[in-house]
Amino acid sequence: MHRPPQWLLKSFSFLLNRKMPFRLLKAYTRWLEWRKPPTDLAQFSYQVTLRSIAKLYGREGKVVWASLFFPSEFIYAFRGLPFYPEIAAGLFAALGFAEIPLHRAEKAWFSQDLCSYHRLGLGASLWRFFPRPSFLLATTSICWGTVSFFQVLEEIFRVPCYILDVPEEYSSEAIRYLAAQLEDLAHTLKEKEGVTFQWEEVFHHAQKALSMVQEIESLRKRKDLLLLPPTKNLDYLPYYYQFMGDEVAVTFFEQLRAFLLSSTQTLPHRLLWLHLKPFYPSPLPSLLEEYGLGVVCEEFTSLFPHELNPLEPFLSLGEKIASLSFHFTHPKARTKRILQWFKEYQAEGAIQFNQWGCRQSQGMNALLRQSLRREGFPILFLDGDHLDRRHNTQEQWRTRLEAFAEILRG
Amino acid sequence: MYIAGLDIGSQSTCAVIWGSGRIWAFSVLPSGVNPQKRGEEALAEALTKSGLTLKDLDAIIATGYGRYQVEAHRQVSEISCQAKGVHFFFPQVRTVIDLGGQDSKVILVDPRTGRVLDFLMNDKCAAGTGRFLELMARVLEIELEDYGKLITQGKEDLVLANTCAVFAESEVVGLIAQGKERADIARAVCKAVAQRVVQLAERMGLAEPIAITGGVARNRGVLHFLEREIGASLLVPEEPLLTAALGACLLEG
Repeated sequence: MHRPPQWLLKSFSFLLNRKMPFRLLKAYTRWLEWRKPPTDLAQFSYQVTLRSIAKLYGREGKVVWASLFFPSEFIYAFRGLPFYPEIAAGLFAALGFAEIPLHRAEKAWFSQDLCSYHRLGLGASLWRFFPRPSFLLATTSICWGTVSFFQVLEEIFRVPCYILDVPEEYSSEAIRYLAAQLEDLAHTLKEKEGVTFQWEEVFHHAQKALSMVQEIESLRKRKDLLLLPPTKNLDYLPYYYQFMGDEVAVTFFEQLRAFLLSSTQTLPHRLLWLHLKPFYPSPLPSLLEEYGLGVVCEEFTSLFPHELNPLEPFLSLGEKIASLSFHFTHPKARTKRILQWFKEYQAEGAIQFNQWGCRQSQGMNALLRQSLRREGFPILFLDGDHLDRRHNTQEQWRTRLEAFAEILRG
Repeated sequence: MYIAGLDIGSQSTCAVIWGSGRIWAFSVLPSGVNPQKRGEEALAEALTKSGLTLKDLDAIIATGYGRYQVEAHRQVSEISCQAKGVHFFFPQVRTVIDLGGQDSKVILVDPRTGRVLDFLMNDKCAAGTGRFLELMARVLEIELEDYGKLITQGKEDLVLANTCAVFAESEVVGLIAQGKERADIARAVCKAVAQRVVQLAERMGLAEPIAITGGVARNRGVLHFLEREIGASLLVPEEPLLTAALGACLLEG
């Protein structure tokens, strides 16, 4: 892709920072909803994306940026508009625009070795492509890179950044520690931002969405039903993170369940997908399909069932953060969880797509491989980048996937 | 029943004709820029040698990076084919190190069946592959086969950065400019390749006996350092370039 000229990018950035185009977009989305009520997942997601863009860029409320493991329920509770730059980075890549912000970040001395989710987020922020935040919320998990990322964002936008310290353990003490921080944060935001918190409705939506997710997981454990097209579920990541606590997630998961129930196509092999995937258009899903490698469970869309109690909101969300962090970042806990999925989903193998520069996930590769091999489960590590296509060698994927499928066939 | 196995690699194309439990003929040609044409030529040459024609073949199985560019009854990855082919020559082998033109692979093999248990391929860097040796040979103005002779003449223990082929090339140019002996530099090149491969192999966990295949298996310089680094002798098939094509035949037969 040729990089567009500077004047064009500046004009684009200028438009993104004006409310008027997004008022027009909002009118269009209303017309679209009336004219073409969504009947499938693709149309539904398209309309949700447009509506979110209109709200965020039209600044219909406080735009609050959050790191992936910061619970969106907290933001919805004070009627904030959650924006997850790491998820938005994936969308940028999916639309084929990743190169522009990546180049901008590299020009500003952010090394190519830095995780591309953060590099892209920084480049897009320097270009002012993302909706300007009122303030930033982050957790010290999933990785320390996230903290540095948010600290740099704080400098770029000159807005407050609040970071929750997440303990390494998953215990009642750790949950209470997180709950206390959340409560302090709520007080600070009430004082400084003038917001008030209403938990009932938000928790109701989140709880309902979560029970739908559990139903979907039960369906995906069945061998006679269609798996989604390989890795497709990771395209729905916003519903698992950004929209938890919003009614839109409930509607989406209802539709997803209906889709799974209506289809009967299956693929010969059932796999677990660890970490994330390349979000830019690539032959990976079709290669997986070609070799009969179905994906029945993805690590990042497997949430923990947890009770959300509106009478104890901070404890509830503290538990959510603690459980997510612990099971993603603690090698033994992560491995135990993965081995459990092998049984529950009757999976035959796992694929992890290593993200270039990601220490958090790759640091435990050897342990993970060792544990899985001990139980007789093969794992394939693909190396590349989820957003920066310059770090990928797509032809090499084919040989690795083909050989992996041959191992599974025996 | 006659089966042809075609291995179209980045550097060499090999065709094997297999039937009645033996290799009838084989041919090896440089891959060049047209893998499809070269595959056909290699197959034609092997058929001529065997006294058979295309009509006599029951199946053609293609492998190697160009496997989808030729007409074949089936395509199989070179990883499965290498394992099976090496198993034919050395049934006891548990690890195969395949050093090809553009990639290197370490394959764990089930000695009972010749099936792949696990594998690992090099990352994007060309260091540790045949291409690296070729690049350095060009800079040193030597032939590939000279490496083996030169390492016995080397005296000084030079160390070459082995992480990037491009940087290594400039390093070699620097060493030449410093007046270092060609034999010492050639030795350092072979050692760098061996160390790179051993890093990969040790990640996978080497299980003996170990066999080596691919074009680099003929490089006595690399072989010497590989055996030294691993601390074990390596089994080399008489024709290390034909194992994948043979494996393709065996997987079908």
